[in-house]
Amino acid sequence: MKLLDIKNLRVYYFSEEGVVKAVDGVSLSLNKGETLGVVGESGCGKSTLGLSVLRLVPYPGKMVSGKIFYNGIDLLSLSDEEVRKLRGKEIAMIFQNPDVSLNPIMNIKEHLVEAILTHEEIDEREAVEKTEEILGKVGIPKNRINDYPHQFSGGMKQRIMIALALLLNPKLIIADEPTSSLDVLIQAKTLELLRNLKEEYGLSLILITHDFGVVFEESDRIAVMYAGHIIEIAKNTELYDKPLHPYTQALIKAVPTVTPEEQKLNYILGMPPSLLTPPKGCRFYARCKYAREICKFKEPKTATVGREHIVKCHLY
Amino acid sequence: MEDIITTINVKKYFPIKMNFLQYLITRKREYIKAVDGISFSLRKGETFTLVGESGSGKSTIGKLLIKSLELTDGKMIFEGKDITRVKGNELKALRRKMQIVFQDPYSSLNPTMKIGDTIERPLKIHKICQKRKIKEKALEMLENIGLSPAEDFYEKYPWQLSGGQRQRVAIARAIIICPEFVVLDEPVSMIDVSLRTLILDLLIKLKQQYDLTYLFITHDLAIASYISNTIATMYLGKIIELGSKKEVLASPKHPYTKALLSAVPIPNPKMKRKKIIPKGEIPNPINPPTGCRFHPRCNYAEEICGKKEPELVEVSKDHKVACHLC
Repeated sequence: MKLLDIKNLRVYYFSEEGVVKAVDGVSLSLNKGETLGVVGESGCGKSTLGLSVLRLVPYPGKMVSGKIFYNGIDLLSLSDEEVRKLRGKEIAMIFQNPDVSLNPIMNIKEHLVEAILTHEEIDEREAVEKTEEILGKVGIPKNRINDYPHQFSGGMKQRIMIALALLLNPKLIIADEPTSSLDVLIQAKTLELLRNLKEEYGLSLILITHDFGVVFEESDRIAVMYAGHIIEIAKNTELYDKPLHPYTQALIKAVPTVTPEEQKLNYILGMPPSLLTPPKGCRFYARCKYAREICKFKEPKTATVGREHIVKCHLY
Repeated sequence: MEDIITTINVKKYFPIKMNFLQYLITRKREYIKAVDGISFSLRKGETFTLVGESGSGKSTIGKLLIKSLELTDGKMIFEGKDITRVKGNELKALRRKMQIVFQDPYSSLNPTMKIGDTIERPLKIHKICQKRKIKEKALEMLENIGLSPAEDFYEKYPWQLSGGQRQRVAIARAIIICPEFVVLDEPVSMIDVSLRTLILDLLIKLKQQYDLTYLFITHDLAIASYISNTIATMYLGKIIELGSKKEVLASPKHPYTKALLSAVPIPNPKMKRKKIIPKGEIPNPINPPTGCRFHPRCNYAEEICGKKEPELVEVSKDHKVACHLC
């Protein structure tokens, strides 16, 4: 069953230099209980995509067209008040950098209790109990509840962010680079925690990251984004076995692995195009080694190749 | 190969600030033991990698080696000369031979300086070439690191560049004066995975071109395996495993190195590796655990581990480990 269904979404930033087409016609769906990985380079629009599901696109950004259905409800037709009620309770977000997301002058208890009291009609004592319970789940000891963000390590802060997201039992969590600022060991630990909590709470998860290693380990399905477009979607192993889009192929080959042998990796030359003036044809044209004449002038259509494997490329 | 830099039992303790009253009460100064007795040598021309979690003391070593921090104890030898206490002009001359590239290219470049000025500055400070040749040299360097057309980049400001481009500028600034030795402190961790290999390959190319020796700092063994000749694992201010890349990655001995290895995500959904994650988090370096510093988190710890500190001993050729059980 589809929990989230994004249809032809366009989110533009109306900046002084012009219109930045950060998300430009993205269609994507998420099944219940699924982990969907969204991979792409910096600036490809993946964070904007995540923010638009919560209707949190910052000024001067605007959702220009498209629809987002959550459990059948059209999120874009709701009033601000109605969306506010969904945030945290139905859909929650985990941000990349806990140092920026946590308020340095509020202790951990205040962070969590405030969130509960904003959404639920319970008294403070109950809220504190609930706070302690959820912090226990993410492995923060009770006696640290009155500590401030600066007293915690990076990994602990990210676990507090996870606790904050889980607080009101949401059904969908959007995790935007949840482990990119962490060490590999802490990253592995945080991802494991997220995986277990997802199981326990029956969550669905959108995992936004630039690290193919992480998505391949964590996701059921993977969507690859490039310059505001989704260029390929497939099941995890399918995408690994036969990545179709030249960009996906190149991106997978660029990830270093641990090996005592010498490795020679390829990388993608050049830079993604400016989203102020995206090219008319395929957006990957300038960097693609299979580029043909048609790629320059005509934007490729999305083709379905095989079961649940979608690719946006003229080669298919 | 001759050694370019050798450290002998190097220590760096940072005193914890306390006020007079606190001092009267405790009568004891407390220290953060960031680096606590480390000895190793870098051979000329190699890439020596330090791996470990945040807080293990890797960056402190980097700063000690380029003399931006004073050591608390120990000895440092560079090109056969004792540099433990060099000062003044001698230090300035030394700095010409040692450079550093920092992790975050967003904060390591001066936002008010043009890229050209940033790269030229070290040439001017060390008076390396004739004035009229400075610009020519900077442009040549920009081409060399792949920022072309160089004339355009020369006139740009850091905010007009992407993260990867900025990091290349930071690398160019370090290498333009042809140093002997460069510390690379997590140079690719802030950069997208897709661009990391590009930067790493650039570093490898420059190393050959300019005949450099690298001390590479990272927490990611995948990156270490791409660029290193020698790998040293650090934990709480100590080196706990040291060996050639082949030895350390093919047959890691210390449980902590094994854990670090297992934690690296594999971009292959069909290969599931069991992750060994040590319990808890890295302890406070003010009062490190007795005996082996890793023993409270180690899955294999035995009685002796809590009592006696293991020495770094050779287990095979090019491979040393500090663990009672290896």
